[in-house]
This record gives sequence, C-alpha cells and structure tokens, in this order.
Amino acid sequence: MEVFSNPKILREIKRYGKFDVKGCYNCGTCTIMCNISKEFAPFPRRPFQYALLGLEKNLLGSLEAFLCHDCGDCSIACPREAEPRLSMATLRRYLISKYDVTKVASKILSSKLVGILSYFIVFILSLVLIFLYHKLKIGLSASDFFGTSMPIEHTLPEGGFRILYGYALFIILFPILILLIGVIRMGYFSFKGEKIPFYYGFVALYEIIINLFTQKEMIKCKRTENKIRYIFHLGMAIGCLLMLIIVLFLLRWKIYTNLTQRILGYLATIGMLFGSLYIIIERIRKKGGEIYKESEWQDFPLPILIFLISLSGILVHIFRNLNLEMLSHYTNALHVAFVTSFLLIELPFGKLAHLIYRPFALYFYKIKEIYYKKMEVKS
Amino acid sequence: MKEEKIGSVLILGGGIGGMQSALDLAASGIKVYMVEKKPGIGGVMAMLDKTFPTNDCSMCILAPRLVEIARHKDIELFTLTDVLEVKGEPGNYRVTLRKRPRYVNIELCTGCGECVRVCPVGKIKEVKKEDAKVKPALDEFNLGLSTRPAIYIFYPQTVPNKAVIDREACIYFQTGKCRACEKACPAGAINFEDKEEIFDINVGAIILAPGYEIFDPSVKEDLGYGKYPNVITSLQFERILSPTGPYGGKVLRPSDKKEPERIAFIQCVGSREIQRDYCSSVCCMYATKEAIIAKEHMGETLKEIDIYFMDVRAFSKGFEQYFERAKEEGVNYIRCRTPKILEDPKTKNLIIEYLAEGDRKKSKEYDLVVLSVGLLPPQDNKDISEKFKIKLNEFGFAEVDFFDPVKAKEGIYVSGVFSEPKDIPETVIQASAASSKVLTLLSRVKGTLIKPEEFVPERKIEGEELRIGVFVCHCGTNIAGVIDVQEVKSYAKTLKDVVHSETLLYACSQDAQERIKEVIKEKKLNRVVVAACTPRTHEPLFQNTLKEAGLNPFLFEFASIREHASWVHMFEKKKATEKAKDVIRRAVAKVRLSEPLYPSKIPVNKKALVLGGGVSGLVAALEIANQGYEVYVVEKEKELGGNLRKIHYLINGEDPKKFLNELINKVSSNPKIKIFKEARLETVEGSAGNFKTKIRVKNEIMEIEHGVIIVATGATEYKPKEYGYGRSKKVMTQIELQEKISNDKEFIKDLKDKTFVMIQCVGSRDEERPYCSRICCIQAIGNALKIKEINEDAEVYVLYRDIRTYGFKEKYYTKARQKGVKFIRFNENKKPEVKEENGKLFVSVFDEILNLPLKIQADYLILSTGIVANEDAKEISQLCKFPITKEGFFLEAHMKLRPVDFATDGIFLAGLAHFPKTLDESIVQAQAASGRAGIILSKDYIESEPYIAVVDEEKCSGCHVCIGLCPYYAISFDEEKKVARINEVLCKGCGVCVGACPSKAIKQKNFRDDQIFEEIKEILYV
Repeated sequence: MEVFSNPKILREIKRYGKFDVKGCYNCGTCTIMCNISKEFAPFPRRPFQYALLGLEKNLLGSLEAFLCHDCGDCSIACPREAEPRLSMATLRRYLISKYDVTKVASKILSSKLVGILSYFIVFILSLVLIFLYHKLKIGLSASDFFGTSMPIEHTLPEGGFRILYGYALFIILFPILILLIGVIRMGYFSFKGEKIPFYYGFVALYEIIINLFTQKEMIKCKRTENKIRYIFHLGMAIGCLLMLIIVLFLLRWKIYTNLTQRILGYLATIGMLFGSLYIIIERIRKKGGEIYKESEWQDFPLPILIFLISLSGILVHIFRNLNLEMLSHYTNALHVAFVTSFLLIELPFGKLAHLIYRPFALYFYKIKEIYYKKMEVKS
Repeated sequence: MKEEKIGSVLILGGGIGGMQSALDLAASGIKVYMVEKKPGIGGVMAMLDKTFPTNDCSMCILAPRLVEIARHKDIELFTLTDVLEVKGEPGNYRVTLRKRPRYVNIELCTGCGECVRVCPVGKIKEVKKEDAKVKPALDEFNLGLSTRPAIYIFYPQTVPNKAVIDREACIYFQTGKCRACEKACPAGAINFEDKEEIFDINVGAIILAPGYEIFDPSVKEDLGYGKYPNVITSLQFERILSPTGPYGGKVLRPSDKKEPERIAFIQCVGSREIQRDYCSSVCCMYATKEAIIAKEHMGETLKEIDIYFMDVRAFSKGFEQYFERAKEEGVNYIRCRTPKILEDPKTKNLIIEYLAEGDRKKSKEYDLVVLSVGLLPPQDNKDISEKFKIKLNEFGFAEVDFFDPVKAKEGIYVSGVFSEPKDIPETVIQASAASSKVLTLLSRVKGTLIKPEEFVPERKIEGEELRIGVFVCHCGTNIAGVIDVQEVKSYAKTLKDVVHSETLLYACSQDAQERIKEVIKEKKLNRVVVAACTPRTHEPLFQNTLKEAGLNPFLFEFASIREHASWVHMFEKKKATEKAKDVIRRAVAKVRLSEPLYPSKIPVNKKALVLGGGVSGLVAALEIANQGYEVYVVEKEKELGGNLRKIHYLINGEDPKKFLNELINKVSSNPKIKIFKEARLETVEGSAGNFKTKIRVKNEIMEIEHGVIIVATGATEYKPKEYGYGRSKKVMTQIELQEKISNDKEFIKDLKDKTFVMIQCVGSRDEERPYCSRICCIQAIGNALKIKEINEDAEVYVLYRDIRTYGFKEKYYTKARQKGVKFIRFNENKKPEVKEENGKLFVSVFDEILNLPLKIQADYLILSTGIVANEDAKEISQLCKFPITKEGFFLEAHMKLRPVDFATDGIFLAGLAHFPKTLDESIVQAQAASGRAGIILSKDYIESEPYIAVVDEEKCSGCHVCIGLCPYYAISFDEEKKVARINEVLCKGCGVCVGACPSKAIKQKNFRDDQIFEEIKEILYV
C-alpha cells in the first residue's frame, strides 16, 4: 500500500519543540552510533524520515521515539550537527499529544505559556480546595496532630476521610486512565495491519516490569556521563514509585511496622530529592555532557516538581517531629498542591508520560521482535 | 610613472597545475620561475599509481612533463624554497625568496644514488629507545609507510633529480660524526656547510598553485586511524598500489604484511560535514579507481572490496561508465556513512557497522580499511593569503572571481585545488586559463626575457658505419617485474650493428636522458632504440634527447616492450621476455634503415576562428583578442549568448544576465573581433598555423584564413519524453521553471502551500545516455531554494539517485535540506511514476530508507533534464577532423592532461561541446583553450609533420587514385609534369596513398616498404 506523504505534518511537529534537521542528509550515522537502536525499530533515522516526509500514520505507530533514552550519542556523531537527540524528544512530545484523547497535552506541550499556566492553575486550585476544606469542614485551628502519620487525618470529621480519599483517588486515577487510553492508542497504531497472535502479549509481559524498575536500556548508552545519569534517574524514578506505594498502601493499611515505613520513606525521599536536584542542576549548568547541553522548557517541570514534592514532604516530616504544628500544616498544604499539579498535569500531559509509554513501547516492541524473528526463521 | 612590465612569471607550486602553467607560458615566450617548498616537483600526482577513468599510469603521463620542465631553457626551478615577501603591482612584482639548504650541491650532483646506498640511517630497521638520537626517517613520499636514509632522492623520477639531506635524521648533524655520504659521493657534491639563501626575483605576474593538504583522520577518534595499524588513508593505499611504493606494488596490510582478503573504503572522511561543508570532488572516483586497481593487482586473492559511501559523485566525462565498470568487476557499494571502526585486537582485523536494507544494523569484518580522506586547503594558506594579499573563503581556500575563475586579483591568478577541490583535468584547465591571463597581462613584453634557442649542431652521419644503441627500461616493475631486462639487454647486444645496450630504471627520467646523451657521444651512436612503454606518449621525449646529443631525432625507434609484452603477458614471464626480444629485434631492423628527416617550417597565420557564440566562444574570443590577436566568431543563431540566454539566476546569487550583456558588449565593441551571425561551417582545410575555412553567412559563402580553431559549439537541453512532459502544463523542465519564476508574476504570487516535485536524472544515467549531466542537481537545488526564498510555505520534493553537488556546491545542498526541501532517493530500477487522477498529479516513489512506497500529490512536476550533444556535432567533428564520443561530445587529446586540446594540432575545445559543465567551468575552459591557442599564435613558425609521403615522380603514372583517397585533401595533380603532388603542410602521414598507389610511386618517410618488410622478416625470423 502506498503511503501518502503530507508535508504539513512536519510543521505540526515543530510546534512541540526543536525539529531542526539542519541539513540532515540521511547518512545513517545517528542510527549506527545508537547503542539501543533496535533491529526492527531502528532510530533515529527512520522516525526522522517519517516526520520529514509527513507519514503521519507510520509516525503514530512507530515505537522508536519512546525506545530512545535521550543520551545524545547520535548528536555527538552527527556530521551535520543536526541534533537528532532534540528532535527525538520533540517527537515524543508530539506523540504524547497525539495519544492523548483529551487534546490537553497538545495545548500544554506546544505552548510554553499554556503549559506553565496550567501547572500554576492546578497548583493554586488545589491550595484553594485545601483552604476551603479546612474552612468548611474542620476549621482552621486544627491542633494536636503530633505523632500521627498524616496531619490532616487526625482531625478528620465525619465523612472527611472519604472526601480526602476521594481526592487522592481522583488525582491518581485520572492520569492513569488518560495514559491507559494513550497506551491503547499507541498499541492500536503500532499493531494495525500486523497479524501477530494475541498470546505473544503474555510472552513478553515481563518486559514492562523489568524496564519499569531497572531501566536497563539506559545503561547501554555509550558515554560515561550516562552511567551517572542512570543512577540519579533510576533513584528518582524508583523513589517516586516507592513513595507512591508507601502513600497509597502502606500508610493506609499499616502492613509494615513504623520503622520499615520510615526507612523506606527516607530512601524514597533521598532518591527523589537528589535525583531531581542533580537533573535540575545539570540542565541549568549545561556542561554535563550531551544530554544536558540543551534543554527545552518542557524538560523542567518534571524535576522541579519532584524536587518540590520531596522537599516539602520531608519538611512536613521534620516540622512535625519538631512540633512546629502550623508550619507543618502549611507546608503540607503546599506539598499536596505540588502533588496535585504533578499528577494531574505532568503525569498525563507532560514529560512524565514517558514513565508509562516507554515501558509499554519496549513491551510492544518485544512482542513484535519475537514475532518477526519467528517469521524470519520460518522463511 | 608606472614601471615597465616584466616578461616573467612566478609560479608557486610544482604540482601538475603549476607545471602546466609553466610549460604553457615558457612555450609562449614568458620566463618562468617555479617555486616549490618540497625537494622536488611533481606534487600529489607523482604519488598516484593510476589515474581515473582511463587507468593511465600516473607517473607515465607525468614523467615526460617533469623532464620537459627540467630541460626547458626558460623555466628556472627553485626547490626547498619559500616566498618571504611580495611587493609591487600587476606587471611588476619584486618577490623575496628563501631557499633552504639542501646540503647537496645541485650543480655537481648527478643523482646516481651512491650516497643513498651508504647512508647508515637507511640501514636502521628498528629503534630500541624512544628518545634515540638516530632514528630511521619516515619516507614522506610513501606517507610514513616506509623508511628512508637521511640522504635521499625525493622519488625516482623527481625533478631536479638530486639528493637532499634531512637534517633531523642525519647522524652527522645530530652527533657530529659520520659523513659517510661525503666519502661515497663520486661528484663531491655533499656540502654540510650549505646555508639558506635569501634573494629577490622580478616578475610581471604570479600564479598560485600550492595544491592542498589531505585531511588528517586521526582527529576522528572513532575511526581509529593512527591507533589501528590496518586503517590507512587513501593516499597511503595509492602508495601501496604503486610499484615504487613501500611494498613494491604488492597489496599488503601494514600490521603483518599479509595480503588483505577483504578491503573496505570509507568515503567522505573529513568532507561533507558541518566543519567542512564541501565535497572534495575526487574521493568517489579515486576510491573506485583504487578498488579496480587492487582487484587487478590481487586477482582471486581479494575476496571482497566494499565502498561505504553516501552519494556516488561520478559527474565528469567517462566517470559514470567507470563507476558502472567497477560494479561489474565486483566492487560493492554500500550506501552508508560509517562513523566508527572497531578492531579485533588479536587478528588486527577491523569491524565496520553499517545500515543495510530496512535500516538494519549489520557488521562486517575486514583485513584493511582505507579512509577516503578529503582535501583541505594548503597548510600555509593564511600565510599565502597575507603575503600575496588575496582573500580566502569560508573554508580557507582562495577566493576567486566567479566570472573570471582563476583570478584572485589583477596580476595574481590561482589554479588547482587551492581555489576549490578538483580533479587533475580541471586543474590543468585552470592552469592553462591562468597562463592565458598572464599572456594577456604581459602581451607586450612576451619574449623579452627568454633565452634564444640553443642550437646543437647536428652531426652528419653520412658515410658512417651503423652504430646502434639499445636502452631497455625497467619502468619500475611495470616491465622488469615480468620481463628479465638483463637478459633482454644482453640479447640486444648480440644483434647486428648494436654497439651498446644497457638498462635504465626509468628511461623517461631526467637522469636517464643525460645518460642516453652521454652514451650517444661516447660510443658515437648514430641510431638509437629505446625499449620501454609506448611511443604514443614518450617518443617525442627521446627524440628530443637525440636532438640535444646532436643526432637527427628521426634516427630513433621505439620498442614497446611494456604495452606489447609485459602488460599483455603479465603471467607468462618467460614468453614475455622472448617477445620483448622479438620486439627489439624488429626495432633494430627498422632503425638501421631510418634516415634523418627535416621537417619544414610553416609561417603561422596569427588569427583565430572561434566556432560558437555562446559564453565559451565569447570568452575565448575576448581572451585571444586581449592577447593581441584577431578573432573571427561564427555563430549559427541570430543572437549571441547561446544557452546562457535562458538562465535568469544562479545558485550563488550572481547575475548571469548582467555578465552576458557585458560580455556581448565587450566582444561586439572589440576592434580585433569580427562576428558572423547566422553562419555555418562549410569546409575546413589546412592545418595548425594555416587554416582556410569556408563559412556560409545567411546565403553567402565566405572564406577566412586563420591559425587556430576554438570549438565552442555548445550542447542542448534534453527534451524529455518521460513523465507526461508535453501533455500537462504542470510538467516542465528546470529551465522552464526558471523562466516561470523569473517572468510569471501570477505564478509567483500563488506559491503558498503549492507542492513541487522534482525528478532528477531525466535523460541522464540511463542506457541510452549512460553519463551524468553534472549540472542538474545544482540546477534543481538552485530552483528549490529560489522557491523557498519566494515562499517558505511552498513544499519541494527532490527525487534523486545521487546528489552530486561537488566542491563548494555542497553548501547549497545543505541549505536546501535546512530550508526543508525534502530529498527522497529512488533506485534506478524503481523509477518514480506519475499519474493524473481527477486533474491532480500524483507521484509515486519507493523510499529505500523506510522500505515504503510513497505517494505525493504534486501541483507541479519539474524534470531535471540532462544535457545532450547538438545534432550537428557529428558534422562539425567530421569537418574539423577530430574524434567524437559515443554520446556526441567532442573527444579531447587526453582526458587528464590535455583536456582542451584535440589530437589534431591547432584545434582547441571549450564549453558544453566537451561535456556538461557549469558556467564558471565553461568560462575557465574557454580561457584555457585561449591560453593553449596562444602558444601557437605567439610563434612565427611551426614545424610541419616530418613523416610525410613523397611521390617518386619517375614511377608515378598519373592515375589519380591517390588524389581521391587522401582524407586531408593534400594531394593535387601537377598538370605540367602529369604527376601527383603532395602538400607538405596538409599531409598527416596517414599512409592511405602509399598503400593505394598501384605503381608503388609513393613512399612515406621512415615508413618505407623496405623498412617494413625488414621489420616483418625480423619478427618472423625469416
């Protein structure tokens, strides 16, 4: 089947950031230099060509953009200094927007103003909600919540728990729902027209879990700065996941003893705090190798929010232990507002969406790889 | 008051470009000072093994010129010399030179090589300590692949053929002891006290031909050059292929000196990248050549030879066919720019990763990897630019005037790679163009500084006994590698009347000429036979040597033991040796009967005829008029200007219209130029120096007399039959598009969101026309950029096979890609298809990177049509008696070194009639043709062909048979004596009349029947 080339797609892609091919002449250097380019999903050259020639459907079905781990080996080797790394990042933003059925991601990722405003609005709105909650439900002068795990719970009035829990559930489930639909769309575009038997999906399932928790692909990126980056990135990601588990499950049902909780919480905080701080510093400093040489605004909300969340979180913990009641109260309000902004904007519509798309891209790729290999052996 | 002009020129650089200018100018009466920083001249061409696309041995075509320069009375050579300061103005410069010490007295040294053999540095094989004072010196000529003594001869054929001491490597200079060479030198030429000399010369003009530097690939760490022993540069490989190279012409790899079974070439190393956004123009072809030659050398041993490339740039005459030939011979081209090489530390083999079909990564192992390194400006480019006050461009090359492409500024001209990477023929063309510019500038002072011709009195040999000398050439290993030259030499000595025989390493080298002269005098030889390569290139050289020894040059005979024996019987050494003996016996038999010949002198008509009033013809006419001669221009159309009239803008923003109008004005107003429009060639008679030409102007026949002809008859745009051209208004050629962009205002207004699809190679590179039209890529990119410039929102697709934006044109390709022009490569076997559906054009093309068939909706389809020869090309070639290629372009005398000459003297070639080319290339070729024509026009007399036919009036029956047969109309009938009479000037010595004469009354001098029968008898042992 002939594929229709729509030259206008490239203009659309360029709204999501740099896609400056700077005279790329398809030499293939980038793909050869890439240590994690896949046999059946080679990149960056192939997705580039899709974008350049405006092959929208192929682009939507291409997993390559999310298989890329942004190390920049391609950019260093590119004889035309076309910065394939940056273009791959832009492609990821384009795809996040395309997979998002609400079209919100498209607005946020393609406009700095809309993007930053939406983080702020959600942040302010959640502060207002917290204020109203206190004003209307429990009164502003809450006291004596020393020694409890959550400062607000202690003063819960009748039904308050449900409101709070509903709130938490909403800010967690909303992004998950959005991303789930996105993943389904991704799979739909990617597998359309392929005749891969359904059970292959089970065979490759381990791929998601492994990649979610080890991010092993990133270690294969060649240059040494990637190893350091790997540690911090992994620390931050595992920290986030761990904290999510602690907050969602452990604190509620008290499965673990207090001490275990604490130690796990500290570890997660360390991972998040230092991971995000490292990334922020490197992105500002621009000297930590190819990865941090050039950043776009969309790269910043993620580490900044994680940093603020972890900082405010640990401060609440400290203030509480120091009996600074009101201070911990206010800090906690900020903490919740940061988390809300993080979960409602960054996770489904921001850069963080790769947390879900990447493991799934790897998983989908694995399915294809197993299938294609089998087909090759047959023929 | 302005000072008087000076009739001399300074040529900086002794490579092929500098040499060509030197020979042109010296032949036209200008004194030449050639300055070379190395110990000898020859440049990079001397290092090459073969040249593409003819596979001519580089040294074999270069050596005669080296010798000519060495012996030319009006060329003074300064080697190991640098320019310190330049003062003055065009016509009168004072240049300060510094000659570095050679430590060998050039006057005394004979180049015998005794010193080289005794030098202890040459015997050191390895150094134990890193900081040892005495180390073997790396041989620069072999690019560090071999070592040499501290005293050495630059290379065997070098000019001047004198030894030189490398101070850094010399034991005496480093430790104060040794002086072995001094003791060994029979001529007493060694001078350890030699000092640098600083002196001034006065010249009227300057030609800069300093050549280039090759890219040092060690800066690209991923390629491992300098780290892995079996990664070498293409120039090193060229040395390996050469019989005078480090391994004696055997293809071995450096790490273990084993024959590599798998060789890879990596193209574009140091070219076509952001730091150097230009194409080096020659690497695709030299890699192809090296691959072909390696296959030839190694035969079955070489299992695989792969070339990793991006676009094959085979854009000159015969290149595309050469590339096709390489593929047929099993050279494998892989389209991928490979950025890294890995080494297996155990085997020292190399691993290359590349992208195969469908972008799949594959890796292959090789025994040897050759990096096709690009061309950089000369290392001292900044220094040259400061001293001569010329500008450099963004890449550090010399900046020249686009419409006067060898002019850096008035009085200072540039040729060769210094102004842009280029191949040998283009360098030679520029060199001759620079000569023409110098001749124009110094036209009044021509001949004022040259030495009067040295007349060596000729020895009368009448009554002498036959004394024949035979010289057998090794030709490096070309002959000696197959034929036992010592045995042949001894055999020659046994032949009747042979009084002397000896072998020479390179019979064509300067020292060999001296040796031959010496022997002629010493042994009183009166006939000479040289058994070597071929008389085609080398006969004049040896004849000149005879002349200088006081012997008539026609008492010489060539025995082609290379072409007729060693090359054709490479694998039958014994038989080849026997055949060489036969060939020599034949030559001796013939030379016995040779007589002295005396060519007659013919006065030169100092006028030129230029065929064609396009840009090439007009430039040539103006150049020749500026040199001081009268010119006739014959144009078949009503208007001057030719193809350039259809061009409205150029890719580099220059204004071709303005240039053309100015040129036409200058030509029309020049009192020395007479123009005939609507004129056609009727007949051409005569020869160099004396042509009589009939032209038909409208309906009137006119006869003009002139001394030279410049053929600049142009070519035409191919009118396509493909892709629906002519059926739809939306389909047009690039020239038609340019016309629309320039004149159709409606069209320009409506460009927003319009999609243009351009298809390259329409009518080029196919079975019918198997050549690349060279300019279509540039034309397409120029138009694409123009469209984008007018409206950024217009979309342009270029469907191509290879983008061939050679030289600095590469940057426009980059720019087009940056501007968003979409380039899609198609395979020659899967050409794009065009369909019209519901009034819309759709182009289908298969994208090889994605492995997908694509469909594009086009508002306009632009065909990049090739250039085809004119319909009357064949007729012109027959009228003027010069050859034509299968494709209908005129065939020059030699593709590399005589690119504007025809084999027929006095006729020169320029512009599209030669081959498709860009505007500046046409201009420069026209200037070169003028420079070459200037050599003849500057002379009062030229010598006629000596081997003419003569009629024995006693035997002639007056039957008229010969008269009708002579292709040159040289025979007339003497009504009084009733015999045939041959015009000495017109006779080319073809021998047709000799064979046809029923009464055997016509004989050809030195090709007489008795000589030929004798030759046959000898060769058959009768």
